[in-house]
Amino acid sequence: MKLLGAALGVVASTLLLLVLLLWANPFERANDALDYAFGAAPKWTQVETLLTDPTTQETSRGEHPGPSLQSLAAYWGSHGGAKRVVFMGNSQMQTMSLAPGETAPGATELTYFDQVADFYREHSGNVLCYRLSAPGMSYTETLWYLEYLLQNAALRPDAVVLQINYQAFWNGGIRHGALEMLGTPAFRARIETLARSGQPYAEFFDEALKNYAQQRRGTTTVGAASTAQGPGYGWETEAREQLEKTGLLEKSRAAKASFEQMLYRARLYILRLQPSSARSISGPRLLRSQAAIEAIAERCRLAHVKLVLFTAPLNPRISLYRNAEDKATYETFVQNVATKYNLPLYRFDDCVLAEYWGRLLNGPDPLHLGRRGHQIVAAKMIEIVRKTLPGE
Amino acid sequence: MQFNSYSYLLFLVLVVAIFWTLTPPLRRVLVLLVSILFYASWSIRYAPLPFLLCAGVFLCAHGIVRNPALAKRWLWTGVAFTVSILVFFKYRLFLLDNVNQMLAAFGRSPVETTLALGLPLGISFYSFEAISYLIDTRQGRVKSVSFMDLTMFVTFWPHLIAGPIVRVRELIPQFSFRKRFEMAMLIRGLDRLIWGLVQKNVIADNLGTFVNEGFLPQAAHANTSVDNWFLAFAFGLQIYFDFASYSNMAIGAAQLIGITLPENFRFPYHAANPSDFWARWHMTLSRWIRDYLFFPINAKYKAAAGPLYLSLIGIMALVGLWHGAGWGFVLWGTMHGIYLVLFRIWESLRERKFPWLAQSRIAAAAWKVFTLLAVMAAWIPFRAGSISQALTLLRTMMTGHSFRMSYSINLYLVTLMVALVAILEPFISERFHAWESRLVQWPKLRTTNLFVLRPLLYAVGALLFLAFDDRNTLFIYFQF
Repeated sequence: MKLLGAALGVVASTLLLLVLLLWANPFERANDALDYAFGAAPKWTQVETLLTDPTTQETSRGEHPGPSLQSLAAYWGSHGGAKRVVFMGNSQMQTMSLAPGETAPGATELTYFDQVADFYREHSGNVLCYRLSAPGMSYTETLWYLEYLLQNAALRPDAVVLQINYQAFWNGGIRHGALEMLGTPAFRARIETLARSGQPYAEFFDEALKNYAQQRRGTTTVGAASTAQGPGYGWETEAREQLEKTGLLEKSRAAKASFEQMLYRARLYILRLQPSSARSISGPRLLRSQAAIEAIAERCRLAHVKLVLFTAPLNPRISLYRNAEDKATYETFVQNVATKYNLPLYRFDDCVLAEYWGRLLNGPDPLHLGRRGHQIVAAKMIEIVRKTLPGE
Repeated sequence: MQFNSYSYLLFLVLVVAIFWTLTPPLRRVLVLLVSILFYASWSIRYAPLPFLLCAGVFLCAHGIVRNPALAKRWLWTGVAFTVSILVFFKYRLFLLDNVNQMLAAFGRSPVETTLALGLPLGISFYSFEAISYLIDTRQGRVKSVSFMDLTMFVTFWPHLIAGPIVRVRELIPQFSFRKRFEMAMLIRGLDRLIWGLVQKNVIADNLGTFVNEGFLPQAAHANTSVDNWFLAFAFGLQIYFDFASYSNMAIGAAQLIGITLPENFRFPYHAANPSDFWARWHMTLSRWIRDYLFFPINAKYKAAAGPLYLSLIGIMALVGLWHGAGWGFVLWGTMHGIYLVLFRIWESLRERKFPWLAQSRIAAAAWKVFTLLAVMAAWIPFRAGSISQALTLLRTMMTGHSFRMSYSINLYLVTLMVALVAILEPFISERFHAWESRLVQWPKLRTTNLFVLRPLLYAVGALLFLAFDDRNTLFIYFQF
């Protein structure tokens, strides 16, 4: 009996410590310590008070875009006759990293996109801008979103302003949160066609369709078909629902994010491998990105949607290209696409001076602009929209 | 219920708590009922299958014992019965595909089937256990076993789905459940269970994300040689941590009710040579193959080199086929067969011509490096979707001249990080136990260790398990 009591003591002690760890999140504390030790920029320089407006932005940052796009359809539907411009790109469009010397964030800060949208709301009233961006958005995902917009008349844009970024060539895949969009039959049919196209990006669409089918059936991704039919799946769902109510799972997700951030910081601070470290592009990811951009251009041409390309601003302190060949490969491809499809191409590469860029932890931010940087890009972007939609 | 699911962990806590409050006869009933419930949780449709198998082999074993004159016939009937169930469920479509390909080559129309059956979980594992029971009975190593004992042996839930592949004489004597509860059972059980949860959720599944992208069919033509080597290592590490995690959780769960299951892994990537690899990797399968296939064949051919080598390659090809109904698995097994033959040829050559090399550190290091690289390369056909994809990837690995990295830097970093874990695993384990045994020499620290330090370690493991929880990934070996 004494032994059983001691055993219960071990289990109870473990559970108590687990709860304490979940609430204390030691990984977050470790991150703070690492930031302090390695002289990272203060946290407030990563602006969290950016404007959130579901009528002009996909607000889930790509994690749960279905509801955002449905509410957009309703909003655009109530503004018939207005021209619609969709901006597509990665986190540069939706993040602000204050540069040294810039004051602390105000109540609401505006990205360059927000400033463009505001400008047209105030001065025209006939142009509706929308930002469809997500951190690390790949061109395969961009194609995915474009197909979704085109299959629904209420979401059909008149123009698409597409950010072309060397870093985005590294990305691939469709994130899980976007699979819900396949619930729209016309869109799913279109994705099925693309999955059979034999194009380099087709595998991602095929995988997305399989993952969606598994989600719907309540099955798992690997293994035997027999796993789908048992009552265990329902028991697990029930267990998870109960745990979700306790707040435990939310805490564990926060712990995961902090743990990954801790590894990321270790990479940055100790291995000195930064997102700004120069890299080559090659292999399957390059081929997929190139094919996806060409497919976007072709799809816009067929749908009579004006497509505008602009190269993302680059921090002059950083070269993302490992060598001249990488830069040439990238620039030649972008120029060739623009020429082949007769697309306007605007180069923003050097438009923001080094002092207007933010800092990422303890180094220069390769991607995210400061407040002034956003203002500079906004001024140029307003002109681009004006040229794209003359008379508006 | 997966071992790393919340429902299973809750189920395990309840089962262990109830188990220790019961008398030994009732414990037997509980374990049998729990095993049935566990298997049915995956699929009610296939729940009767292990019992059907048990009934068949029980009758045959009964025949072997009752009628020694017909023992051989009863043995082969039992083996044929078990193998036919395995072939029907696991290899039916593979055989049909190959027949249809041959028919197509002769311009004939394909044979079609409308029979839609999934693969019952664990069938490869419990079939092998049933065969071992029959052979052990025939060879007199196992005496009479009751039907309940046999059913408990086959369906015992910790090893039912993916091993370890146990033997009757290892497990059935423990089913008397007469042991009293000891704290060591709880500690050993929790050690294995929690380390298994971390291995699965934190290590294996995270590698899986990178591996899945790298093995997409079209990537084969664009990956560089450095990509493919990293992918081979990434998958090799993923499958090791995935399968070892399952074995750890199985051993841990069994330990919580006082049952000791055999070990399945002993740091396989530290193997000194191909033969040593198989003494460390999926050890319970290796000894099954050794005892029930290799030794009998070896005895038959009286160890003549040629037939021995051919049989070794053939057996390893069969081991590949046991893993999955596909030619990629056969190629994987064949590659391992060739490695083993090469090592045996080297060993016999060394003994005859270069005995002084027995102590050579350079030769030992060369074999260690060769084994690691060769084992990792062999994972390519195991993981690839087709033979042509596997060959393309292997060709790039062997002849490629580009060292560009095509994927996120995280693929390469995480692979290196996990490789470091695999390298340090035995040393950390050894140091930790040495440190702990010194610590508990002081009575006061013994209590602190039991109620604070160990629980803290478990809590950190549980925190990582919870943080990296993803219900959408199964154990890789479930598909076998």
